[in-house]
Amino acid sequence: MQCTKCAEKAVYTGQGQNFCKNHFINYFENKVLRTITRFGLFAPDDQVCVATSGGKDSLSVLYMTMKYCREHHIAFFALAIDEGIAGYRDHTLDDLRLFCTQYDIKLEIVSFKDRFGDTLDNIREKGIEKNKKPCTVCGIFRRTLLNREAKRLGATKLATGHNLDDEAQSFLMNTLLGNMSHNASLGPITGLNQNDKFVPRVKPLYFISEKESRLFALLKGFKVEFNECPNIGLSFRATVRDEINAIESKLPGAKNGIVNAFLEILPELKEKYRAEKSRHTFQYCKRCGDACSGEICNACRLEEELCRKETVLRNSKE
Amino acid sequence: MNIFIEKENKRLALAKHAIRVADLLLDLGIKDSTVIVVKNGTVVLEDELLEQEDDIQILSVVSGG
Ligand code: SF4
Ligand SMILES: [Zn+2]
Ligand SMILES: [Zn+2]
Repeated sequence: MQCTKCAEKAVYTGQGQNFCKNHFINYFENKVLRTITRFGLFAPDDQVCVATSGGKDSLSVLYMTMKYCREHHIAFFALAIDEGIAGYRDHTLDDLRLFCTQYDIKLEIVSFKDRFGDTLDNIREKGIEKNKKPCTVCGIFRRTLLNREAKRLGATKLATGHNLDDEAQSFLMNTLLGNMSHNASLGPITGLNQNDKFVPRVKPLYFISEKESRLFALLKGFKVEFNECPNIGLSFRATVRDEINAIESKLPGAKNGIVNAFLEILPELKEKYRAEKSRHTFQYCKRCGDACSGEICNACRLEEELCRKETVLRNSKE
Repeated sequence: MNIFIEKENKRLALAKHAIRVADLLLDLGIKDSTVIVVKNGTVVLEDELLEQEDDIQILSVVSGG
């Protein structure tokens, strides 16, 4: 197959077009830059924190944010969370350190162990609540830490590597579970209400599929080892991901279709749930002061649960 | 041909004269939207013909969690 734009051999085919290496890189970069401008993801006075892990999406989003920010003189840095998953996160963090040195990017790494007292592996070992999967704990702690640390470091935006596949999955997961209010917080800029405790999250890779992201990383020569978290198989997301990929194989463009359909209803969803939310006054966690919907936030509730478990374990040994 | 499947960290030696990428993926039960196929160090598409002496890598595009 030949590139639609030149005589070179194509390495990519999608939406009726074929691209060679150079034309694919162009296409990819333009798509991301257009997403940044279309949704106004970054402003001149922003201080951008890029949430990274060392995986392909996070290196691609870091590279593209760097490209945009350096050109527009916007301050940015990288932040990584080390959950403490042996044989997985340690490898991706090595890839990340190398990347940041190579491109001269400031990198901050904070760990569950430092901030919450233990690694995810150990937390899992202790088996907090029986009905709680490691991904629930991981997700709550990671989300909380990203926000807290970004805030602490002075960030006004938090850029994440969420891609088209992630968005299609989240939308379907929420829909299957009947959680339409959760869908209202998705989109290229997440969150419903502005709040000084919450750093707005933006998704420059919003229209980039997983396949495009990996291809970009590969063609740009980013060192990304394939690495899968040992816990992934346990997640509902993995099931939905496999189903969507099965549909995409039979109906190319389905992922785009899902996300574009979602974007059409998003403004109404946001309006509906914003109105509903603003009827409740905002609450702040009694323990850490973060914005939350109850008395204490999810992360603090988990931390307290962990503490209790620890005491029980200690007492049972004595 | 020598085939490396990244997701399973598995190596196969396949005794096939020639096969198209699309058919190879079908045989292996792998969905096209989840992988990138590399032949002798170059990314190739579904219609590419793979031959006996080729070195094939099947890279996974799904993210790790
Ligand atoms: S798969 Fe689950 S445990 Fe692993 S990194 Fe993702 S959310 Fe965390
Ligand atoms: Zn070309
Ligand atoms: Zn709290």
